[in-house]
Amino acid sequence: MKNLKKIIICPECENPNLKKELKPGEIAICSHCGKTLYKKENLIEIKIFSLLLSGIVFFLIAMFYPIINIDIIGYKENLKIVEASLFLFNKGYIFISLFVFMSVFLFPAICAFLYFLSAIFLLFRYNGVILKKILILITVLKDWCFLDIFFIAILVSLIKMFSYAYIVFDIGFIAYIIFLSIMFYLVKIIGVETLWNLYEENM
Amino acid sequence: MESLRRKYVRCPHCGFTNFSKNIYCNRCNLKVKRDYSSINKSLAFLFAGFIFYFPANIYPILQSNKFFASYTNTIISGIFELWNDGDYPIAVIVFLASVLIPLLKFLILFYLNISVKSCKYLKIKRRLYKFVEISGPWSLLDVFVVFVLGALIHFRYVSIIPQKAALYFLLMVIFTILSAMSFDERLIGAECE
Repeated sequence: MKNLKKIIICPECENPNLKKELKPGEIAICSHCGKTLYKKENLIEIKIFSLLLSGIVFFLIAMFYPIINIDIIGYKENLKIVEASLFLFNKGYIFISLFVFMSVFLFPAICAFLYFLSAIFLLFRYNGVILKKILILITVLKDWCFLDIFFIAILVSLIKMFSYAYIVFDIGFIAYIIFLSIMFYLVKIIGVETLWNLYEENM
Repeated sequence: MESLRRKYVRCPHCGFTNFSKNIYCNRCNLKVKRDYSSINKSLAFLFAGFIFYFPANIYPILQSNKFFASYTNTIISGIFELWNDGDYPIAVIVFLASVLIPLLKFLILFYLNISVKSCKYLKIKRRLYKFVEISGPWSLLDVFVVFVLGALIHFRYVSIIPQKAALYFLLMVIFTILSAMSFDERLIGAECE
């Protein structure tokens, strides 16, 4: 097990590389294909913690406050994700509304909360079973969060409505963009593997 | 180097290095063994998705009501409408996300599943899998657009109502995502070393 920790396999070419201790700011690349394997960043736990502290606030605003308001010949309506899911659920579109509710609200909410918890645990150098379970949950759930696709869908819908509706962006829209950016940074740029590596370093 | 490659395997979930004989990852406890049964699983999901591809494209996905006029749109007719209205970029995006990419996904996943033991075009196959993995969920775009429009425009004289193709389309996308997830990418070229 200890020897295995010294080896890292390139995700691109599956070439085994020896792991080396890095200085902050340095990156390790594969000796065969040159792909970035891991990097050392300063205070990554604090970065995740602070990003998610603000991220959770923006998430609540994005989900419960209107994202856009529309006005069609005097009829007014706004888009709130949770309310919209409930509305379509009550109209009989059960599967679609449940799927949207889970992939745009529930799973991102759980993911953000678990990232937040893992950052706290890592800050306090805790590496017990709970942290491991949290990391497994994040690993599995992150693939079912579709915030980015939903955002593009909102933009496409706006273009479709543009010709016959008066559209006003609301506070939820800005909060949604900020939360989306935070989650994108955490999931795609930092990545779950970084959390797993931090968990291992604490062992 | 080849012997080292055969000795170790990378966990696709957490990136930890395990011995090839391990079934579960030493770090995250998720499955790490190269599993040929994943081909059956992947094909089963793929066929399930393919069944839903036809009703998703034949039946209307949206019903638009404007005062006393009511008309329905399938995915294809919606794209034509966008094109005729001059929304060319959106028409192209919807065409790519809703028609072309799902069709390509079926073909690519089918090809990958049946040719997994073949040692030809390994690099291309890995790239094709990456393409399917990344582009797959983007087909949900149409379902989300229907959701947003249905939730926003439901007035007495102007309304947009989701139709049954939206459900079939969603099921098709979910099954193809599951098919791509079930497919073990590391099987490509595993027997060629």
